Amino acid sequence: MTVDLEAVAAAHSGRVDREGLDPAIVVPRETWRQLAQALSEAGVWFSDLTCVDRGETVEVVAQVCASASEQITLKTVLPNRDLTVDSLWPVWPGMDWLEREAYDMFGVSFVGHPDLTRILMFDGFEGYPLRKSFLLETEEKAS
Amino acid sequence: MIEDHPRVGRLQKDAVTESIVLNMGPQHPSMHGVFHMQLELSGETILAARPVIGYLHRGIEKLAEHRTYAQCMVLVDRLDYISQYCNEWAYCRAIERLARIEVPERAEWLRTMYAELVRVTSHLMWFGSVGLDLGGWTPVIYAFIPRERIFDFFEATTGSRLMPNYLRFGGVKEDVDPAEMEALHAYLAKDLIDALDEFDGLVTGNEIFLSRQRGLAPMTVDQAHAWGVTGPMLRACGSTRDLRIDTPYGVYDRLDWESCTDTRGDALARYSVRMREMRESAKMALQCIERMPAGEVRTKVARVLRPPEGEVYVRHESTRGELGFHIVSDGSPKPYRFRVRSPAFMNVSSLPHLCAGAKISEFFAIFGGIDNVMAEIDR
Repeated sequence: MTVDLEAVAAAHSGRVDREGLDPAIVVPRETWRQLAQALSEAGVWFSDLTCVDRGETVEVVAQVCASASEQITLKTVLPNRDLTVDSLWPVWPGMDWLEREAYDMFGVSFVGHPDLTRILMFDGFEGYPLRKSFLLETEEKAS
Repeated sequence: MIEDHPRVGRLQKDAVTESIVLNMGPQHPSMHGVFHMQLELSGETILAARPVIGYLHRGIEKLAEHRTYAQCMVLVDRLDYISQYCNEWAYCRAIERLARIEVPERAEWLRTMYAELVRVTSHLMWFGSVGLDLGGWTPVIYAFIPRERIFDFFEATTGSRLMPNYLRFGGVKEDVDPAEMEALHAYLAKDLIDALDEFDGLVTGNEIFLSRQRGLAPMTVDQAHAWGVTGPMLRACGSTRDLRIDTPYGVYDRLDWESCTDTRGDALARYSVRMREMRESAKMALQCIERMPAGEVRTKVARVLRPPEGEVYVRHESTRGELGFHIVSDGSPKPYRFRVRSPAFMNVSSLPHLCAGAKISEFFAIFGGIDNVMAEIDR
């Protein structure tokens, strides 16, 4: 089975980014869950979800498999002042821990996640360690 | 009715039962490191389970952003310290794809051989711990004999049993001594197979072991995909998913071997898949030794690597499942984002589904079949 990336992207008001090593479907956050739902119904399964801090924005990046060897990257870009996006947990229950980790490390709120709590850091921890604004002790001393 | 029995007093008649929460770990001999599980119990039956992780979180992804690409190799070793070569290889493949580095033929054969040897040692470790989880000391003591023999081979070339730091971008650190290779060949061809036969005799046919594993915690392929379960656990449900075949790398497409699968999906199927995988891996390592061409083992790569701007996601069949490296480069000598998709992290997240309804004594039998490594889960 192969997925027609252009058609899927167009149906969810997104675009296909072919500049990188693997093609990526970039959609606005409003259609993030619909995109996953449509792919899931076409038999696509997920393998990863994480974030990349780009300063003004935070990208949410998911890796999915359409067939044994076909790999697709899904992306949505969130503005730094409002890091909320629909949870993919209702589509793929295994997103549970991946989204908790993204919340823990980047502070992204996944709307509709059943239990959005810290996972690797402890409950009382303040800040989001993988944000670029979170400095290591050595960096703090240097600045 | 028990209430009608004359010796049942008033207290028992009016007694109400309520569920209790039991904390298992993080300091518990069967918790494979520092794993913490909150179990809600009704008597001995598990109503709900909640894994609590993070006790071994060292911030490896953050640390990597402050080191050069080559320096990150030692951090990668410390992710899954039981299948080090798989981690190193996956990381090297990601960087080599990003920076378009060619790997010499002999280095690909060496990498494949090391990855399969480490799969044997990792599964031996798992075989030992499964025995411990079920209350038997014998398997772990037997399993460590072949494991140490293979570690001796690792040590001869890399100087380290567990943290080799052996792979380099564009090859491996140095070639293996031919005498060591010959001795290993003799060991793999006879002694290791004898040892595996012995393990099968000790455990695989053991009636108590079988009755504790058969039909336990069944899982279907659809459930495995929905929960993100990969590796031997996924193949035990009947899936043929194996990245060594689906997205060929190394020299797997030139070796005679087959991916081990099972259709039962229960704890016994997971056991059976891993036991057979050890034999297949030993077979592959033997073929590598026999057919490996002579030649260079390393291409020249800049000491401080600056991959071009971009991002890459590479998936790799580690001993526990799909290991993913997602590297974002901004053209500087340090990775901008260094993400590890840990197979054990995803496999353990399926634990609440697998244990609901099981008895507390079955919990360890289920948990042992997941084959987790806390260092990789917590990163």
